[in-house]
Amino acid sequence: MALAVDARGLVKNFGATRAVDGVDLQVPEGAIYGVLGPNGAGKTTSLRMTLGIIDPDAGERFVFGHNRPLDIAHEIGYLPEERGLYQSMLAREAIAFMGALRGLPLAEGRKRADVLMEEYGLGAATKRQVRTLSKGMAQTVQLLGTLVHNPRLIVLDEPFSGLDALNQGRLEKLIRARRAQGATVLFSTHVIAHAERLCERIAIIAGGRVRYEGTVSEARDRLPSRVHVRTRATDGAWRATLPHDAVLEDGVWSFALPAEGIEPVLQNLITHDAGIETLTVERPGLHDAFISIAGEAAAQAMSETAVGEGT
Amino acid sequence: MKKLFASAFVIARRDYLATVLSRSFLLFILSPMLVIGFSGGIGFITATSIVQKAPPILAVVATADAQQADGGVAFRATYADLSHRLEQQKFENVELFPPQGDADTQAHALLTDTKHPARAVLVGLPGAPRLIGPKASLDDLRDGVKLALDTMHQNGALKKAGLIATPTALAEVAIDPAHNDIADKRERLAGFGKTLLFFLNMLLAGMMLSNLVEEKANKIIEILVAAVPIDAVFVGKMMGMLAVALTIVVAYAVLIGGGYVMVLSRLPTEFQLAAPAVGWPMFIVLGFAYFMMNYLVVGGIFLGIGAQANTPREVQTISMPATFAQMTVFIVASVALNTPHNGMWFGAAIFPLSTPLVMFAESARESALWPHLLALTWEALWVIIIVRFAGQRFRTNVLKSGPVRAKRV
Repeated sequence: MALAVDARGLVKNFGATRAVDGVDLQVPEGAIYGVLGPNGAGKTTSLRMTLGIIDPDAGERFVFGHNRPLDIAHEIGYLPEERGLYQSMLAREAIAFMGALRGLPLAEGRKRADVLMEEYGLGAATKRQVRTLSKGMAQTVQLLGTLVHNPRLIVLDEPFSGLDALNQGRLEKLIRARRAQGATVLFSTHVIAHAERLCERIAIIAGGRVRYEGTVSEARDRLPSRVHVRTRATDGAWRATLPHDAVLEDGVWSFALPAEGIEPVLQNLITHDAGIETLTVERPGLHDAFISIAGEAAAQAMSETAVGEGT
Repeated sequence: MKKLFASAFVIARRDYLATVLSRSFLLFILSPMLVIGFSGGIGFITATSIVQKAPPILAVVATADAQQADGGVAFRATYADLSHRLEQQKFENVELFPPQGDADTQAHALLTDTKHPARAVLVGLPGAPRLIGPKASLDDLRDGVKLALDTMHQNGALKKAGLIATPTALAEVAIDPAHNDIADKRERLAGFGKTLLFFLNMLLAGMMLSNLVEEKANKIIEILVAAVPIDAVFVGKMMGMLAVALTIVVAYAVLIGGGYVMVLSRLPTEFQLAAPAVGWPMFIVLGFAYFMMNYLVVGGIFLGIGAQANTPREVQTISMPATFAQMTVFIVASVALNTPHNGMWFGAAIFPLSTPLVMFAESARESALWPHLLALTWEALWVIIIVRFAGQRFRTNVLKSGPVRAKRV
């Protein structure tokens, strides 16, 4: 499996604080790869080291086999977490400028900017100064600037942050489209739903370390499915047949699916006249897997941020 | 290297266009013209008001009687003659007034006249002259009045004795001042060149201090350093601002230099510049070369220092000591130029911040070109050192890149 990004043992200290503590990232070429973690987990620092913006204190990284990512800057597109554009620039010039930084001739950059802006509904804004654009439009302009030179590796740091639901959907579509064209997409997020919908593989980082690396499906499979059952009878002999971890909440019993399957539980409930109203077996989501993997505290921090941003 | 300069050019182009296409740039270009025009206007108004104001007078109270030869008329004639021959501005216009009552009272009235007050009043001619007036006027006029009185009395005595003083014949030999003071004029040109270089740099290099604040405030710096080496960012910034500075210099040269050339032929020879030792074309080429090197060295240091600042307020705080440092270098270079080719001069010629000032002045004095080639190479070396050092500091202090002492928490 050819790797677009191969980072091993990355370590970064800021003063007395160890921000990243031995992170490994292996991103296959052509994949959509998500780096998940709460705020302050070390995602951005890991990405910045991977791209060569800062040097690691220890460890090594290769991008398409190069250990100096700036040597192949023309193959990489990067959208930083903190968005920034020259306010006095025209929108199309801003896109062309970002392409030119990565080796795309300015004239070609302008042509592509016009096409991209038209494609993403900003056709009327090509000759508007960045300062006159809405926040969402400016963010889209920067995203298009990240893509204008058709990079093989697209690195997006918290790309959904600050976007409304409509634009989040557009961005998901764009990421899939670029992957379909052969690009590798590596993005960080603290909103698990995006990663769950988009990624084949993920890395969960918490406290500066990778706590999980693998497919989304494998992450979900690390936890047993949950059984939720609502009964007409409130009490009876059937209750003693429920697994020990069963908890009652709002009239619904919930417990982990036993290793022997659902049939024995179901049979006991019927035999003891529990009166089953509803019974569902729910496969755990990535969110549950994240809580399990990163720990309750990290999940709490992430959910607070997500609620704060309305995502 | 080619890639670095290609990246730097993209940044330089953006900076150049963003600066020269801004409205404030036009004001920047025109501001010296406005200052010159304003100063000229004020000067004209002041001069006009001076012309319109009546010249001060020395009032002489005396009768035009039989003793006229020793009285007011004779004094006025002698005083005017001395004034003309000695070109002494302190000699005032003399006006005669007939006596009216008490001399002191009349003098007071003449001194306090609201329309045309006298600076001083001379009474008691011819036997007992008294000069009356404010102390400052007496100090100014005393010697002239005494000289005029003495001359008047001596002439009167000679005339009474039937003698006439013969004017002394003075032979004159004129020489061509252009040949006489060329070394002096080259000295002046050297001083002028050094001062011009300094002021242009002080005016223009200061812009470099705040040159990365926009990128840091707008978070664009992250996009730049992710795409190009930090050295390319610094080189691009310096190239862009150097182009802006050269645009300004050319504009100034056209506007101010053009005006100078237009009036050059009409200027008295003492105001005309002597040809520099290296000749005018090479002098201008060296001027641009030293300006660029001075700008890149000083601007590179300023850019590196300013890059550490996060806000315009921090830049303002830095700019004051930076200006003082520039002034100090200028003063040291000026002192060194007073005694060419001694130890201090060599020190100033080698110190990279003052090398352009000293060596540009040297090109006005000496015709050898190899020292300039050496000096420009020396400066180019320092530009590279400064860019590398500033980039390294930026990576370490601002981007927090590179190893630091770690403690596991």
